[in-house]
Amino acid sequence: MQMRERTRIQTSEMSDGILAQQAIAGDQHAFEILVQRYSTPLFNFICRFLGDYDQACDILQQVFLQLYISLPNLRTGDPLKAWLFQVARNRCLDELRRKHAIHFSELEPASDDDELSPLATLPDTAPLPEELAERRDLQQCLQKAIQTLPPKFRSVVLLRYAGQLSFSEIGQALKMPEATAKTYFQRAKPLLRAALT
Amino acid sequence: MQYPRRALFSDDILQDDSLPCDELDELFSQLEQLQPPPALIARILSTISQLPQPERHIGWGQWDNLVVRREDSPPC
Repeated sequence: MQMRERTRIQTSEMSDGILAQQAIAGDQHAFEILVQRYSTPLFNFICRFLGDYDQACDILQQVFLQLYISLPNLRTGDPLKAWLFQVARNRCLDELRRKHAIHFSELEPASDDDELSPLATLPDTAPLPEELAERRDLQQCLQKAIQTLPPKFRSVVLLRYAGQLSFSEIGQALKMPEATAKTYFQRAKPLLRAALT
Repeated sequence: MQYPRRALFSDDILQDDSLPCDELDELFSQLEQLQPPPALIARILSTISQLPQPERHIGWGQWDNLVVRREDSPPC
């Protein structure tokens, strides 16, 4: 029993590449570890990109299914994390196109209509009602500020803030040089500041 | 008021980042992590466990119907 537990702990500390190889070899637990490792940052990114909780659930399923069927075809030298976020972002863009059927350059900032979004009504661990309200207000403000960004800036900002990717990983996920990712991030900041004031 | 800090920038990220953190980074470090519903993770793992071992060059389209779309479901 202890041996099994120790093996599980060791597996959870393995690199993505090793886990992917084990998953390809039929190790279901290895794939589970990958899902557990990336489900929250991916969900966070998708949910904030789309601003829609239910859609985020759909997209997260798609991303992991795509990972599963793509495993044998993935190049082992490429970082899995960047690949996952690339797939997630592409699926989000597909979803926005499908929903809105307009070009991204025409996307407008989110209106005030989304005040009852699940994102704004997340459960909060703060015990005091005033703190609860204040935190919810802050989360709403941050989410709205993100939604005002053009998609190319929004991707970079969310990969950074919600996905917690390095600029190198953002560059890999978005197929752009790291310096470009940094530039986009810096250009997005004045827009965020303006949206927050 | 103090907000709980989230581990936004881990050490490995800081190593290759040359951009200094500013007040906006500080503000967005308070962005809460949205957790996927546990039932969703269970469903993903259950679906995957029922699939055959993936092979090379299988098209994405034939698997698309495996996704259970919440938007098509009644609100819960």
